[in-house]
Amino acid sequence: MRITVAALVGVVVIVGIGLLTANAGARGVDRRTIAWMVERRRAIWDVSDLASDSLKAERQFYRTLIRRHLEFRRVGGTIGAVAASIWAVVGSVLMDDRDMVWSCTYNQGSSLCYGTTTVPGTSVIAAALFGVLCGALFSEAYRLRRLSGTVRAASLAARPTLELPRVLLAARVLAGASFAGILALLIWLDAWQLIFDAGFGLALVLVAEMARKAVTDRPRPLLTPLSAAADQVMRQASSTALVWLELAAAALISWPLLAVMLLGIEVLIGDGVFARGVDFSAIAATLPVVLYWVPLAVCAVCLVKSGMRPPTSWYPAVTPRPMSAVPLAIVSDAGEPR
Amino acid sequence: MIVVIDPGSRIPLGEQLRSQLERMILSGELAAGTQLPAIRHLAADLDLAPGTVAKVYEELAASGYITTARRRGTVVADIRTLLGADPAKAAAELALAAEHLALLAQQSGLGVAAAYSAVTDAFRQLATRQQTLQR
Repeated sequence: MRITVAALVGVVVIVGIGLLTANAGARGVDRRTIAWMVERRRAIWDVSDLASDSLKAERQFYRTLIRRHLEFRRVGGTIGAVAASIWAVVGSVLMDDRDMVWSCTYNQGSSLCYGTTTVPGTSVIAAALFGVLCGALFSEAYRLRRLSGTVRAASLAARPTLELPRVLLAARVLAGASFAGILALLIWLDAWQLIFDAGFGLALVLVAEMARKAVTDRPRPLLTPLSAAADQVMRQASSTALVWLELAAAALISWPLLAVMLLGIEVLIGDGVFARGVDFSAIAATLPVVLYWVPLAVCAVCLVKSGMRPPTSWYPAVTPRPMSAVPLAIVSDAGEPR
Repeated sequence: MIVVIDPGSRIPLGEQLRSQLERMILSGELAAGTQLPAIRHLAADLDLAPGTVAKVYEELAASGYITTARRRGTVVADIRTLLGADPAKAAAELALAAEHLALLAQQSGLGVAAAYSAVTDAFRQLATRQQTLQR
């Protein structure tokens, strides 16, 4: 049995990256996050004499949902990272690193598979990100329990508008272009294994779209103005998270497409298709390394941005203490207390 | 602007929704140009079938209370032009509503005085609601 050093290093690094990515999106349900949610609710609806029990229930509502969101991300990320690590070890045992690029094309193709000879373990990163992405997507599927047999009420007020429409458009355009590109390569190169990459990626984007639609179309509670406002806060936070997750999924779809395209460019450079006499060896060596990481980096950044947490510059407003509560010492001109 | 339906009532849920929306539009609580929720959203909030809400919207559109456009969605129409444009139609609708009120008063045994009192109270509440909306 031969396990390469590269595979072992890849396992250690990627498990760490996978877990960090899963956790980086939200550093626990801290008070600052809860305070931010309350502040967002106050911007929608507020009264000066809100009972402390109601505030406590509101904070618990946010805490429960955010905790659920975090748990799904952590479990998904951990499973993805472990599965990818096992794949990397098994792959290196069965064959050379060089062959890992093509080995998966004969098996179940997915973002698990595509790696390069220059960057062993890249596919393991994609698998870890894939796991976190799946966990995060399914964390948004919660449903309010409807009380049966009671009078039903609904507000005729408009539902809040979509958050981050440009990010959503970018995700759809990137996913569509990547999917079309993979299909074109599939036909041109007769590489039907690519259908798995296309299928997996499209499934991720469709799950993100369906989850966002489910969040938008979820019934609104109308028990109290506070519950309606709190629901709107969570609905906006969920739809924002799902938009970033869809962009992360689109970036992950573009990765195998980019990998195949860049391998093709390497072949063309090697065949001298481009200007003769020009040494492309430096470009050929560095370009794949750089560009293979770009979609994965974009995916990781989007995963972090999808975490339910306040902006780094936001802090809760501090209520100044009344002067009567501050003990003052009256001193004489000489500086001695009177 | 809240609509309430009672699953325990003998009146069909769609009819409860339609009559409330019609009353809100006629009283001015839903002003002309107000956008109503999408069919699927209102159906989800009230736990109704989308077809039921769609039928209510169709009936209101047929009566001229709302208009539906693809991009704008469902919007409350300007009923002043609707009713004012045809005084004969408005008079006919008033006569029909009065006939329903008379039948209800007779069948419930409450009599003419109770019917007059109910109409007077309804006018008073309408005036109060419209004053509140104007504020």
